[in-house]
Amino acid sequence: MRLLGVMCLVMYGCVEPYERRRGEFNAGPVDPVQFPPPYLGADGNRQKQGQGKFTAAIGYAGETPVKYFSFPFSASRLAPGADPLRLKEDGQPYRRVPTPLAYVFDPEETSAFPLSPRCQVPPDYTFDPVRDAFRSDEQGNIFTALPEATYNPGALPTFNYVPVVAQVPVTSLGNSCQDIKSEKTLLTRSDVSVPQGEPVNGKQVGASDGKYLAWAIIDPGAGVFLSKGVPKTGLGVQKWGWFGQFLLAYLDGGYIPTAESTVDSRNVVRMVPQVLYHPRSAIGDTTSNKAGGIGQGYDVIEFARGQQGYSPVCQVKTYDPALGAGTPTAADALPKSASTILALYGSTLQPGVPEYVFCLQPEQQEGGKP
Amino acid sequence: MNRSPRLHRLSRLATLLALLPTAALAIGEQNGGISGIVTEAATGIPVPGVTVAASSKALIGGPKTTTTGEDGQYSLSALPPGSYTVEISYEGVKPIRREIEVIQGSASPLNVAWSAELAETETTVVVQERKLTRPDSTQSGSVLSAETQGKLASARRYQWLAQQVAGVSGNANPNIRGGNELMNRYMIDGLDVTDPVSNGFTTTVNFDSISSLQILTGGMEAQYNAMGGALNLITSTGSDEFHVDSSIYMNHSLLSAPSQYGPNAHEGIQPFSRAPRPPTSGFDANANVSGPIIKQKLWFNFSLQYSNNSASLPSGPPLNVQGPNRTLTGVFPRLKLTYGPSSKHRLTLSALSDPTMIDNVDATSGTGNSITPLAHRRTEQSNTLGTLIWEYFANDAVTAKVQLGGVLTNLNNGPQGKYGRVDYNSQYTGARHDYDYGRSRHVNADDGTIWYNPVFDINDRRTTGQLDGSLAFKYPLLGHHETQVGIQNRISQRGGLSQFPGGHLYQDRDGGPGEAGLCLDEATGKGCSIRTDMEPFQFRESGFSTGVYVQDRWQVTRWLRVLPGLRFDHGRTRDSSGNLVSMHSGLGPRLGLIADLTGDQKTIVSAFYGRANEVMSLMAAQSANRAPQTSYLFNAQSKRWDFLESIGGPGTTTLDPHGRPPHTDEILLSFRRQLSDGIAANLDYTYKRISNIWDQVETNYVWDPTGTRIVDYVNGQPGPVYKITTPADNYVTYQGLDVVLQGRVTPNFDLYAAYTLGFRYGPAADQLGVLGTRSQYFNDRQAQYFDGYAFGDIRHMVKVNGTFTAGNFSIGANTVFLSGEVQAKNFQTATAQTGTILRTPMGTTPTRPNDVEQVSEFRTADRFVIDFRVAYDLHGWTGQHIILIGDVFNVLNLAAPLGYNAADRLPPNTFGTVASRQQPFRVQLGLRYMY
Repeated sequence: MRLLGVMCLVMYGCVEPYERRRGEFNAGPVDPVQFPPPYLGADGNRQKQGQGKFTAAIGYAGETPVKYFSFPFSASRLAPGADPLRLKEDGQPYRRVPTPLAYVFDPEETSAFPLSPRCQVPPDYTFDPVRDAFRSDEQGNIFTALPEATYNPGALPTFNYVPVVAQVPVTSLGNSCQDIKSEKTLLTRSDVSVPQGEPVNGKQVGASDGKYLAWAIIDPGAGVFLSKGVPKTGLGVQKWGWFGQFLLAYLDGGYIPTAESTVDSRNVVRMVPQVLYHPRSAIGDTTSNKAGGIGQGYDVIEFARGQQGYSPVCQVKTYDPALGAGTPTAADALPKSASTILALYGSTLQPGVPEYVFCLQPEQQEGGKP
Repeated sequence: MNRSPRLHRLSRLATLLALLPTAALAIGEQNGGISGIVTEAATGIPVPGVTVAASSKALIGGPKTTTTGEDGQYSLSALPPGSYTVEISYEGVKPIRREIEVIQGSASPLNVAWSAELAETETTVVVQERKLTRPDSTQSGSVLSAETQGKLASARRYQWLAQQVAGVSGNANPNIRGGNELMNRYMIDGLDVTDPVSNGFTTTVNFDSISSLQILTGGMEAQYNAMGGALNLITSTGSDEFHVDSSIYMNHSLLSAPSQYGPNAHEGIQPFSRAPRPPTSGFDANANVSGPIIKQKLWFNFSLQYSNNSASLPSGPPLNVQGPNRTLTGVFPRLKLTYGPSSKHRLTLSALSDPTMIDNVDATSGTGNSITPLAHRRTEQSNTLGTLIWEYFANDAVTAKVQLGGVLTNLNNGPQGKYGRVDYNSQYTGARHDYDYGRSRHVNADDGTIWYNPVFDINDRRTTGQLDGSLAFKYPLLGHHETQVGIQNRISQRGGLSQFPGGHLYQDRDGGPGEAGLCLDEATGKGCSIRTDMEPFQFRESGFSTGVYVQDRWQVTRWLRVLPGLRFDHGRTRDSSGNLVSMHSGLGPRLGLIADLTGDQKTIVSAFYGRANEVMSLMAAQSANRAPQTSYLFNAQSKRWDFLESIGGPGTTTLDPHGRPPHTDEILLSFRRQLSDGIAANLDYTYKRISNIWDQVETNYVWDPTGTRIVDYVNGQPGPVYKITTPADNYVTYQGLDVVLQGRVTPNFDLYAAYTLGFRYGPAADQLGVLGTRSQYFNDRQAQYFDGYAFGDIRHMVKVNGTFTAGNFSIGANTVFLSGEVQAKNFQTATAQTGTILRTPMGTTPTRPNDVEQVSEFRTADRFVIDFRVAYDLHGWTGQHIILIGDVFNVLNLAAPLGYNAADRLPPNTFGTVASRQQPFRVQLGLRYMY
C-alpha cells in the first residue's frame, strides 16, 4: 500500500495539463456577455461574439468631413441630480459614476500612445496578422473595469458604464512588449515604473495623473469600420489592450479636456464638451425625406481631433434648417461648420435629446493600422 | 575443407536447434503454451530427460510432447487455448498427471517437484494452481474466456467486453490506456479486421462462437503494432466430439423501466408523464454446431446468428412525435475448419460474414427527436472475411506460420426512402411527404428540426488483404532464448461514390419553427439563410504497409528474463487523385525486463519500454479527398444567394507525406504477486505519450484577434485549405495506475476487481475531424485552449466482475464505476464558419466571465452500473444442458447523465442540461441449449 501511495503522489505531481495557464498568459478575448448593447455594436449580440459592427458616423468640422463613434451617457450620469460631466469632487472620484483607472504605457504629452515602442520588441519581430493575435511590438494598455450591464428577462438592460478612464501613466524600464496583461502583475513588476496610489479595499492600485481618456471598450470580436467595408477586415481602427489577462478592444477618443471649478463649496473637476449640432427638421425632398437626427451624416462638430478645443464629449444641440417653414431641406444645402450654423440658424438652437453623447473621433480617419 | 569461423558458428547453432529437446515456441497470439521446470522434490535439483506430454480436446493431431533439458526446463508452445492434461513421465516410473488451463497469448507455468515416491503413490490428477502473475510476459490486459463470459450479462458484442478490463473506457471502439478509439487493432483468428478507413471494428461475430478474447492494454511485444490496445479474438474450433450450442435472447420494452427524465441533472424520473414508451424490442437467435469431419484430422465449427433489435427515443421536443424505431437486422454466419494432417502441420480456415441492415439509423441518436422520418438514413453493411493459417512444426524447436486473409466491406449509407421504406407517422402525411430523392435536406436552426433527406448517400466498398509469416525457434545462448521473427503485410483500398440527395443542404434560420419556417420559397426569402451546394463525388484511396519484427524472450537465469524486440514498419497511402498522402517508416524498439523476485513465479516485477508506429491508415487519404461544396448566404435585399465560401475540391487540401508517423512511446512498470492459490494482485504504472497524431491543419483562414471572425484568406479565395499532416505538437499523454485483483477465490467463485487512476491530457482532441470534437488546428486563436485534460480523461475507474456457480445455478455480476469525463464548454459566435469557440481550456468552464481564477472543471457525472446474470441449467431434471438465463442490466436503475449539452447558446439556452443518460433498468431473457 505504501508503494501504491507513493506512485499516486508521483503521478499527481507529474501531471501538468495546463502548462499554458501559468504566469501572465493570454487568456483570450474578453467575453462581452455582460456588455451593454451600445458596446456590442449594431446588430450585436452578447452571446454571439463578433456579430456586432461599429461603423463611424460622418459629420463635419469646419467644412471637413470627420468620422466619429457615438456612445451614450449612462442613465446614472443623466439622472436627475447628477452632474453628467463631473469626474472628481474634492480630489475623489465622483461617486455617482466612478471612473476606473487605466494603466497607460509611456504616454506622450498630447497622445496616450508613444510615438515608438519603449518596451522590448522581440528580435527580428514583424507582426504577422495570420500568426499573431496581437502585436508584440507594442504594449497594450491595461484596464481595470469592463462595461457591465444588468440583463433581466423582459426588461431593457441597465448600465452605468461610460467610456472614460483615469490615466495612470506607466513608464517602461525594459519590460518585454505585451509581457504584462493585468493590473495585478503590473504592480509587482520591477521593469516598469507605476505611481502608487492609496490602497482601495486593501488592494494596491496605481495613482492617476489627473488626465482622463475617452476609451470605449467594445466587443473585441466586432468589426470596426470608418465607412461601409473600410477597412475590409474591420480591424485597424480599434486599439488592443488587456483586462485581467484578457485581450480587449477599445476605441480611442483621446484625452478629455477638463476644467476645475467650485460648486456648492466643493472643488469639482468636470469634462469640457464641445458642441455637436444636428438638424431636427426633415432632410431630403418632398418625395423622400427623413426627420433630422444625430448620426445621419449631417452632424456638425465644432472641432476635429487634433484641433484646439477638441473633446470626445459632445453637448448636443439641434437646429432647424427650415427656419420653421416645415419643408424638407436638401442635404446639400445643410451647413458644414459650426460657425455657419451659429450665423444662419443660431436663433433656432435647442438642446438635443439626449443632451450629451460621447463622440470619439479616431486618430486615423482613413484605413487604419492592420 | 576449411570452414570459416562464422560458418562454423552457424553450423553449431543449426545443430543446437536440431538437437534441442524442448518444444517450439508459440508463434502467435492465437495460441498459448505450457512451460516450467521439473525438479527433484527432496533436493530441488533439476531433472533432465523427463517426458512431458500435453493433450486436450482443443488440440488436433494428438498430444504434444517434449522432454526436459539439462536444467530441467521444458516448454510446450503452439497450444490452442483450452483445458490440458499434462503427463510427466520418466522411463520405468509411473507417470504423474496435472490438469492446467492454457490461455491465449502466454505460457501457463507448470513446475513439478518430482519424486519416484510421488509417482508411485499419486493416483489422482492434480489440478495445477493457476498462476496469474504472467512470469514470462510484460504484456498487460486480460484474457476473457467463453466460460466466464457465459456467466455474465453483456451486450453480446465482443467489442464491449473490453470494458471489463482495467484501463479501458469509452464505447464499442474503446479508449485503452490513453489511446483514443481510433488507435486500437482488432483481430479475429489472427486476421486484422480493423477498418482501414475508420480504424474501428468492422465485423460482428456470433457472440456464442467466441472461444476467448485477449485484450492487450500495454507492454506489447514486437509482433503487435497498436498505438492503443489490441483486441485479439479467437473463434471456437471443432473437436473430436460433436457439440451443439444454441441460444435465444429476448428484450422488450415491457421488461424495461421507462426513461422519461427531466432535462436537468437534478431532475429524476417523471412519474406523471403520459408520453408513450417507445416500442423497443430485441431478439437474438444463435446456433453453433461443431465436431469432427475426420477424427483427429479435420474439425469444423459452424455458427449462425440472427439478430433483430428495435429501439427509439421517447418522443420529445422539438418534434414531440414518436419517431420510427431504429431497427437492426443482421445475419452472421461463420465457419471454421481445422485440419491436422500430421503432428507437423496444422491448417485453419476461418470465414465469416455479417450482413446487417439498419433502418432509421438516426432514431436513437442525439437528433432522434429532431429528425423527421423522411430525413432518416438507412445503412446496409456487410463484412466478409476469410483467413487461412498454416502452422508447421518442424521440430520441437522450430515453428513456422503463414497466414493469408482478406476482408471485404460493403457499405451503403443513404436515405431511408431510397434503400428501404419510410415509416410515416400520421403527423407526416400528405403529398408533400411522399419521399422524393430530389428534395434537399433542410435544417431549421430555429428549432433544430431536420427535413426531407440525409446529407449523404454513400456507396462504399473497402477491401483489405493480409499476408503474414513468422518463424519461431528456441536455442540456448547464455541462457534460453525463444525468438520469433516475422513479416506482416497489409494492403487496403476504398472506393465508391458519394451523392447528395437534392444537391443542396439548407440551414434555415429566422423563419419560425417547424416545416413552416423552412426556406422553400426564395421569392419570399422566408427562413433562407445558408445554402450549400454539393456535387456527386467519386473516391478511391489505397495503401499498403509492411512490418518486419524480431522478438526474443531470453531467460538469463531462473529469475531473470529479458525481452528485447524490434520492429520496422513502412507504409504508404494515396488519395483519389493518386497523390501520395503518407509514406511513413518507423522503428519500434521494445525492451522488457522481468524479475521473479522469489524464484517461485509468485512475485514478479517487470519493466517495459516500447514504441509503436502507425504507418498506414486510409483515414488520412480519405481526409485528403473532400467533396466539393460551395456555400451561399441569402441576401434578404436582393433575394439572391451570395457566395460565402468553397470547401473541398481541387486545391483545398495540401499533403505532407514525409512527416513523422504517428507513434506511441510507452513505459510500463508492473508488480505482480500471487496472494494465494489462484489469486493474484498486480499493480501497473503506465506512462504513454502518443505523438504526431494525424490531423488537418487549416491554413487559409486569417482570423481576427479574438478568433470569432474570419477576416481574410491567405490565398484570397474564401474557404478552408487543410494540410493533412502529423504535427509534432499534436500529442496526448497518459499516466495511469491500475490495481487489479483477479483469480479464483474458490473453485466456484471467479473474481476480477480493478481500480484505475488515470490522467489523459494534451492538445490532441480530434483526429482528422473523425472524433467530431474540435481541433487545435482549425482556429489559430483557439489553440491555446487545447492544453488540458483531454476527452476520455476519467480519473477513477472501478470494475468488479464475479461469477459464482453452485451446482446447476450460476450468477454473475458486472459492476462499473466511472468518475466524470471531460467536457468542453463552448460558446456561440456570429459566423457559421467559426461555429463555436472555447473560452477556457478543455475540461473546464468559466465560473465567472473574464476572470482567469474563476474557472471550474467541467465533467460529466459519475456513473455506476451493476448488471447481473442469473442462469440455471436444467441438466439435473432433463439430462440435457438447457439453461435458463435472466440478465438484469442497471439493477439499481440509475440514470446518471452521460453527457451535458456543452454549448452556451442564445435563448433558449440549454447549456448544462442533460444530453443523454444511462440506459434504465432492463431485463433480457435467454434460453441456451448445449450438447
